[in-house]
Amino acid sequence: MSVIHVRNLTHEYGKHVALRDVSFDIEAGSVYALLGPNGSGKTTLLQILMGLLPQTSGQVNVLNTSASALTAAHRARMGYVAEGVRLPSSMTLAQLEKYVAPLYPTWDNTLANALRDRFQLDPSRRIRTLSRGEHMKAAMLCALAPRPELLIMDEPFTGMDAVVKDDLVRGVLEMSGREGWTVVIASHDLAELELLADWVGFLHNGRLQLHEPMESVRSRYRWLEVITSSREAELPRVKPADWVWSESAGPRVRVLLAEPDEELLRRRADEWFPDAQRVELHDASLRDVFVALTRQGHAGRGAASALEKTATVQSQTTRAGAV
Amino acid sequence: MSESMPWLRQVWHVFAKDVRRHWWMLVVFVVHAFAATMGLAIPDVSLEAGERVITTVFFLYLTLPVTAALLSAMVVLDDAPTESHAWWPTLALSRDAVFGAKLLFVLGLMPLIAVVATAAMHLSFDVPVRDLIPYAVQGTKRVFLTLVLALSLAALLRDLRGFILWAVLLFAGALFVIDSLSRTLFIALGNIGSRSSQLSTSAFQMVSVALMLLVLFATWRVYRTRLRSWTRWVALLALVLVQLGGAVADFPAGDPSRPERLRDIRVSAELRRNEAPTGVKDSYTWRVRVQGLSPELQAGIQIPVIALEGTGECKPVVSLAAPYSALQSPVLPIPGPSLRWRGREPRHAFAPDSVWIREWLPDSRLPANCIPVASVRVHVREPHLLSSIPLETGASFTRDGFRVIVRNTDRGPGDASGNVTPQRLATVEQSTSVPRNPVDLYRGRPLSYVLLHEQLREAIPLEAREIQYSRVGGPVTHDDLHLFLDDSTTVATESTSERRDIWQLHGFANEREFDSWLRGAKLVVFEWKLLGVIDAKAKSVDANVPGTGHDGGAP
Repeated sequence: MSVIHVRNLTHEYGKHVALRDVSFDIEAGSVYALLGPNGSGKTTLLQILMGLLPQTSGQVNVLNTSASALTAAHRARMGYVAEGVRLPSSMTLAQLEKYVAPLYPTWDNTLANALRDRFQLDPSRRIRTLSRGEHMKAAMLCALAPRPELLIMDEPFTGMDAVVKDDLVRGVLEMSGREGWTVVIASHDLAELELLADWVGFLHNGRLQLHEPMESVRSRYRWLEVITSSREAELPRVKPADWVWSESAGPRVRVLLAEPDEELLRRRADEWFPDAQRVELHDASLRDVFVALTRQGHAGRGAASALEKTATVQSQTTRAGAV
Repeated sequence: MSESMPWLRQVWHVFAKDVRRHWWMLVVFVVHAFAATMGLAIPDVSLEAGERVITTVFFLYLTLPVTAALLSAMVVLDDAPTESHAWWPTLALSRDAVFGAKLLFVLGLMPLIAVVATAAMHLSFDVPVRDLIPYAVQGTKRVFLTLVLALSLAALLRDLRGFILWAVLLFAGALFVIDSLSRTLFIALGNIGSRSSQLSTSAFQMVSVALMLLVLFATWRVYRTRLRSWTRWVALLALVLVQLGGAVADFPAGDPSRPERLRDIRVSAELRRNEAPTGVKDSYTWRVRVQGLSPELQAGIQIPVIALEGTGECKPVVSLAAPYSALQSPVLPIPGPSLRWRGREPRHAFAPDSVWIREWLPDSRLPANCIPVASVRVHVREPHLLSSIPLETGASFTRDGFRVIVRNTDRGPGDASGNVTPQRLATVEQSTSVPRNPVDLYRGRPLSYVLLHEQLREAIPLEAREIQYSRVGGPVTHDDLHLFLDDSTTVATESTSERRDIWQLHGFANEREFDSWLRGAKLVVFEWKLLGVIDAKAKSVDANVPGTGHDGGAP
C-alpha cells in the first residue's frame, strides 16, 4: 500500500522550475533515501509532501489524502525533521516536550526519555542555548516520540557527531522495522543512508532520475576496472548507453555501469577494450553511484537523458515488481 | 486514524503557550495600559506636579499602540506563518487553530485589557454604567486598529526586526500621504452643510470595517497558504491609510435617536458678499439662524467654514470663521422654588436666535466658476445638574465622567488674601474622561458654573476662563479655570466713568454683605449634554450676487 503517491508533480518558484513532472510511490514500511545535489529539489519535494508548500501542478497524496489537505489528525501520524527548522528559542527542552506531547495521542513519554538520554540532552536548557547538533537532536526527539507512521527527514544528521549519527541510524532502523514506520530521508550522509534505506530516489535539476530499491542499485551498479596494454587507454568514441560514468588515467580505465549481469559485462568489456590486459568488476557504493550520477548530470544533457532512459526503464520494472 | 486534539483545545493550547512565553511583555502592556489611562484618574495632583504627570501620562498614552504592536508582533512571529523554516506547521496543529489562537491573544485578550483599563479610568470618573462600555470601546478603538494592523503586518514577515522596519515605513508613508491629502480631507470635513456628511461618515465607517475584515481575511489566507502576495500588502496599506484618515475624520454625527425636542428646530444659513475696493480682500457676511429652539435648550455653532467650490483654477479654500459661539441660553434647571438672579441673568449673556459672522477670503477677485459655500453644524445641548460643592479650597466632586476640584478660592470663606482682581472668585481644575470629538471646539467648555444661595434662593452666574490651553493627557482632558463674577456691566460702565465695585454690580449694599452671601453660597455645576446635530449650508450662486440661504432640518 502506498503511503506516498506522487504523479506529474511540478513546482515553480516564479520562473525557476524546482520540480519537473516527478512521479513515484513509496510503500508503507519502507525507508526511502532521497538523494540529489544541492538545489536539485529535495527540500521542495519534502515540504510539498508535508503540505508545507502547495505544488504548482500534479497530484500528491500522503496517507491517502491530498498533501494540501492534510489536517492536524494526519499530521499527528507524521513526524518531520529538517535542517534549519526553528524551534521556539525561549522554551526549555522540557517545556517544548510539554507543549508538543498533548498534540499527539501516540506520544510516548518513555521513548522521549530514552531519546533524551541517548542524545544526552539536558531538559532544563533553553533551545537557544543548544548547539546546532543539539538543536537537531531536540527536533528529532519531538518527531520520533509520537511514534509516527510516516517520518520525513531533511538533512537530519546535520551537526551530529559520528557516534550519535550511528546511534540514530540504528535507532530509526530498529524502530521502523519493528513498528512499520515509513521513513523518507534526504541527506548527504550517504554511508548512513546506505545502512538505513531500502529504496533510493535520485533528483537532479528537479527531475527524478532514479527510483528503485537499494538492493537493485547495489546489484545493478558496478565498477568495471580495465588495465589496457596501451600507454593511454582509449575510450569508445560513442559512449554506450549503460555507461553512467567513466574516467581514465594512463592505461587504467574505470567505468560505472548500470548492468547487473557479470558475464555480459565481461564479454562487453572485451569488445570495448580489445587491448585489455586485466578486467575486474567491483560493487559500487551508494556514494559512488551518487557522485557518478551527479557528475553525469552536470556533464551533459545527452548523457543525462541516456541515463534517465535507463533509470526509468529500470525503475518501472522494479516498481511494477514491488507493487 | 488516531484522534488529534480537538480544534478549540488546540486554540487554547497555543494561546496558553503564547501567554506563558510572553507573560513579561504582557505585564508590560497591562502596566502601560493602566498607567496611560488610570494615571490621569489620580485626584489631588497639584497644578505644577499635575503638568509633569499629565505630560508623562500623555506620552504613555501616545506610545501605548507601540507597545501593543510590539507585543502582538512577537506573539504572531512566534509562529510566523510565512517563515519557510517554521516549525509549527509541521506539528499536529490546525492552521486555523493557530490563527484562532493569535486572534484570541491579539484581538481578544489585548483589547480586553485596554477596555478594562479604560473602563476603570471612566469608573474613577463616575461615568454611568450604561455609558461605560461605549466609552471604553471608543477609547480602545485606536489600540484595536493598531492591533489589527500589527497582526496582519507581522503575519507577512519573518522576524521582529523586519516588522519594526516595515511598521515605521508604512506609518511614515501613510503620514506622508495623509499630509498631502490633508487639505482635501479638511475640506471634506468642513463640507458639513448637507445631510450627506452624516451619510459619508457612516459610509466611511462601513468602508473602514469592510477593509478591516478584508485584511483579516487576507491574514487568515496567509495562515492557510503560508504565501505572501502583493495584494495582501496593498490591502494592508489601504487599511493604514483609511485608519489614519479615519483618526482625522472620525467625529460623532450626533445623537442617532433624534429626540422629539429637536424635530421642530430649523437651522438656516445666509451668505452675502460685501463688495470691496480693488486690492482689498472680499468679505462675506453670513448669518446662522436657529428657530424653534425650546427654552431649556442651547444651540452652539460648530465649525463654521467657508469653502470655495468649483473646478479649474478654483482652488479649495478653507476658512474657519469663528470660534464656538452659542445661541440662546436655557433656563438652568436648579431644583426648588424659583430663583432670583443677582446681576445679569445667564440667558442674557448669549445671542438671541441668530448670529452674524464676517469672513474674508484671501483673493480679492474670485474666478467666475468659484462659488463660496458657507457650512455650519449646530449642536443642540441641554443643561444637566452635576453637583453642588462648597466654595472652599479642596472641595471637589466626581460625577458622570467629570471631576471638579477647587484649587483655591480668591474670595471665599477664610480666604480673602488671594483676591487678585475683584471679579476673580476661584481657581478650579476641571477634568473629564468623556470621549472628545477631535474637532469639537466646545470640548473645553462642557460645564457651566453658578453660585447658589439655597436659603435666599438667589444665584449669581459665573464665567469660566481658561488659564491656559486644555491639557490633554490621553483619554482625559484637564482644564485649569478661573471663575469670575460676571463683569460685563463693569465694562459697560467704565466708558461712562461710573465704575462700580463688583458687589455693587450684583446688588449688594456693601462688601461685607457680599462676603456674608458668599459664605452661605455653594458652587453649582452644570454639564451641557449633546442632544443632536443639525447641519446647514449656504451657497452663493454668483459671487457678485447676494447668496441664497439653505435650510437644515432637524437631524
